Amino acid sequence: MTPAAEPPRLARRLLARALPEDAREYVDGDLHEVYARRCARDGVPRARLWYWVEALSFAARFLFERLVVERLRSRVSSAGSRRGGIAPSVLDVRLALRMLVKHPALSIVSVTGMAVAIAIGAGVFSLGAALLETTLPLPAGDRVVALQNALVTNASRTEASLRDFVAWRDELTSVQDVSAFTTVDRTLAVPGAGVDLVPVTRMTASGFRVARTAPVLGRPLLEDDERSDARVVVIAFEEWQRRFAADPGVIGRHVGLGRDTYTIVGVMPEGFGFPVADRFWVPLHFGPAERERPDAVPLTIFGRLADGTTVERAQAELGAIGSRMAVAHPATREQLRPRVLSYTRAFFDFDGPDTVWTLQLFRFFVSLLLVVVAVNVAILVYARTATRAGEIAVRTALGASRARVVAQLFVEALVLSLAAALVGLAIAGGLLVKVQALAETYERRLGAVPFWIDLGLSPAVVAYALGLAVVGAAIVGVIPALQATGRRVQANLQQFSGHGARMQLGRAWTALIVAQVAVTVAVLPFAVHSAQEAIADGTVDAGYPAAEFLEASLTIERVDGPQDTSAVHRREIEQRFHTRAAELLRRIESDPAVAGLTIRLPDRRERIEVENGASPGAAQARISAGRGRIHPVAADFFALYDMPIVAGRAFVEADARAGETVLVVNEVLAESWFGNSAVLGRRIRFLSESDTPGEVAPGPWLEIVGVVRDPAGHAHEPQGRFYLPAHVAELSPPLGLAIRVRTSPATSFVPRLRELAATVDPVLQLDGLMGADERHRQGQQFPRFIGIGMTAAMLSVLLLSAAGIYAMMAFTVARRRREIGIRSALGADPRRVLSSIFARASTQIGAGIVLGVIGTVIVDRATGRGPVHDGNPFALLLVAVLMTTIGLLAAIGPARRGLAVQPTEALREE
Amino acid sequence: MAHQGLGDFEQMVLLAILQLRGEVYGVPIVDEIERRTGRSVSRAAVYVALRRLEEKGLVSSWMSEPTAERGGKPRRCVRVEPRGLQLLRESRAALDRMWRGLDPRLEGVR
Repeated sequence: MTPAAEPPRLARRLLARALPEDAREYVDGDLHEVYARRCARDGVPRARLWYWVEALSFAARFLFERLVVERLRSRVSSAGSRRGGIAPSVLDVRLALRMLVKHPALSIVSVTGMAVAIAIGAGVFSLGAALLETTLPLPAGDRVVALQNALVTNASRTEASLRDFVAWRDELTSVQDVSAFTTVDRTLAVPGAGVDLVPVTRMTASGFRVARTAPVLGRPLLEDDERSDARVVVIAFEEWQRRFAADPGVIGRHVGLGRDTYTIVGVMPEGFGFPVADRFWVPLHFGPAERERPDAVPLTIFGRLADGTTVERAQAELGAIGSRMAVAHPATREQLRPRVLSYTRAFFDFDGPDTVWTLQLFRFFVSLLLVVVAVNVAILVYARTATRAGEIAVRTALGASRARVVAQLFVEALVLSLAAALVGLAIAGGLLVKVQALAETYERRLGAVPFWIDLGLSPAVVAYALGLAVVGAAIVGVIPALQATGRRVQANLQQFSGHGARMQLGRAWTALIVAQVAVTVAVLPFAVHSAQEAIADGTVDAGYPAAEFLEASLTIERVDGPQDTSAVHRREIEQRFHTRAAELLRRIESDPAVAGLTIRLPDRRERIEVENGASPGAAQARISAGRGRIHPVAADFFALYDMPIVAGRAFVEADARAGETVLVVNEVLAESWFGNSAVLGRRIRFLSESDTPGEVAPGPWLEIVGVVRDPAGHAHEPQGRFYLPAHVAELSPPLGLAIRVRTSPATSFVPRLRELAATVDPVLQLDGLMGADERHRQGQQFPRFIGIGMTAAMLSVLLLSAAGIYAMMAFTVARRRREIGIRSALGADPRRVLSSIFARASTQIGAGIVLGVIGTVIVDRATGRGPVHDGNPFALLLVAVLMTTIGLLAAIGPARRGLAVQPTEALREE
Repeated sequence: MAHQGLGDFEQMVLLAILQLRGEVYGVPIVDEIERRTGRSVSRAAVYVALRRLEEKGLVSSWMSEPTAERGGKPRRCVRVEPRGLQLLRESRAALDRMWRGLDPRLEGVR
């Protein structure tokens, strides 16, 4: 074909622009073919004319098809039978899913951000519900009430006693089966299943009637058991499974509980732990000594509201009883007012309306977190919606109402936030399982986790998360949609030509970006800093061969009742502990599996006076700034824990016998109090509070004879410590035991140890007995959990910020394509074009960083806690550099696209 | 799904494809319609109709090898799918039913 036979070039380019990509080639080919025929038949000029007519016809047809017919068809099918309704359809959902896939980066960022917020919201909601809104999982559990005493002055809870119990039980008619319990620790000896220390609940038989739960085996406790002080015990289902291998003949078997032998009479059903988290129930019997001094017998009291009664009526009746008791016993009862409370709320002392309100408010503010995140996501979505202004304009032109367009954008946002809710719920579920496990790990320290607490994803939590998702979708979808379908639609339609539509980013956008960067820069360093600390705490090595150690606290069985407080009885108990503990220590040390044994007494904090200067006995002693922590330890303590003496000497046996004359300090203390210079030979004394208020009684002067290095495990929280020599003659409960064993794992020695203690005296109790490495691991779980949680939250904040900056950059360039094209066509230096384009964005990021740094410094100064204060400005610098880097990285893509714009292309867009 | 009927023009395009032998693509289809109806048709309309028919699954298409006389561009060849044939038959049956008994009257008009 000669060049003259080539179809007109301009017409072909017109066709190329108007046709969909997949049609360009074959339509061009077909027209080419016919054009050649027409050239031969009619001559070139007529053929060219024909070609132009065809090209225009094709362009018009295909543009009309693309812009009008296809959209009209989708609208008709989406409207279905509703004819112009605004209800979202399956098509909307499909479109929303397509948008989710089409913009993966936006989807990931938005879903991650909202998922973290929803996870936190759902987690807090679940915790709040567990504390506030649970009822006992017992028949008519909501009718079970707690009966308490509260101080008249500040309404704080005060222990109820046997006197209250008797009065309330005998006089109350609106509360039935008034019951009481108290918990004690007892050494449990099951023949053939070893020895353990367990909490035992002494409860009135009526407590089982309140629970309205029958045992699965045997019987509950009865009033007869109580009266005769029978040695009978009801056990929990779980204990029956674990300690008695679910023996069906367990009823009638005997077990040792402390100094007495008990007969098992019942097994409660699975999951039953009433009144709190109880496993062994024995009758609550009151002896003559207790009945003589009923005010000295503390009890927890509860009951069941009588049928047809309300809490208010019970409260009125109890109040009247309280007033009578106040008159009868002014010395002990005048300041007390009894009250009736929901059982589960009373357990956590969430009793006042103020406390409940505060907790609800906290939940509300945590929910607001989602709003903050959602506004961020809305910014991102707004940027995307802006690029779809043309589509929105055409839909409006085709008759879609504003509500219809907004509804569709809302559905898109809803799909996004529902995905986030799913991910968030999964995260929250995992976190709650972890929290429950943590709470159970820390049970010994926090008190038992009540049996009715189940931190799971209840239907209420799921509903709450879905509610959050809808709120999030409303913010994410509706705000940008209202913006995009506002009065500018008309203008957009006029400008519309494929990608020419414009939306404006106003001052609000600038303010949001600046605030976003500022908040990120201000908050992140604190988070990085705290996360760093938490993770360091959570991962530090114990610093000594913890796997070889068993630790426990040796105590003696507490005998309940007022006799506990009598001096004679106390001396008796002390004497018994002293002789039996010494015997137990001797037996442990002589066991072939034990490599060493050392003891420490409970540590205490005291005010400390340091002698001034090197002249002994100088008159001007100075009071030190702080208090010191004092650890009385045995002479072999340092050696057993492999703690090296870095100066002076360790304790010797004679030190303890000589009374308080010498002490050893740790390196941290030597450094912080004495600057490490001439520590040895310095003298200090403790200032105990004297009986006269405001005065102190100084103890004898003590000389520092050695400096010891703490195990590395303590390095992260450097704490000054004073060590005093503890004498075996001071053996008094609770006595800290550390046993280094030769067996591996160390815990294999636990049963033998419990047996030794039980053999010496069943009233001796080894409390908290476990491997030191296990204790160390448990101690690390919480900080590690916090550290990981903070890191996750931080990353999501960073992700959102980065995405926000990126969206802003991309948007800026997209809006100024034409300007970039013309300027580069006129020969402008690309670098100058770019710098001017990004000047505004950089100013915004810069302003944000400056504001954020100022914010950090102010908060740091105000709280005295934070990265700058703790000499860790690294985190602040890191975040500032990070935000700048993200800004620059975000600029690269849009910038390259901007410079690649052809001038002609940019011009044609107009 | 709503009832999927065939428009007049779509029927014509489908019938033209069936009438043709060998490689059936845009150019011969337009020629065939014009030859049989004696009217000129908008080429672009035929192409849009072909795309729509393909979207509905009534025809399928494939690309042939590019040839020099077409400026090195391939042909988009089409074929009627069974579903298209079925719809054609249904359209014809419907029309036949409508025509039934009308011939004598229409002859009178003529």
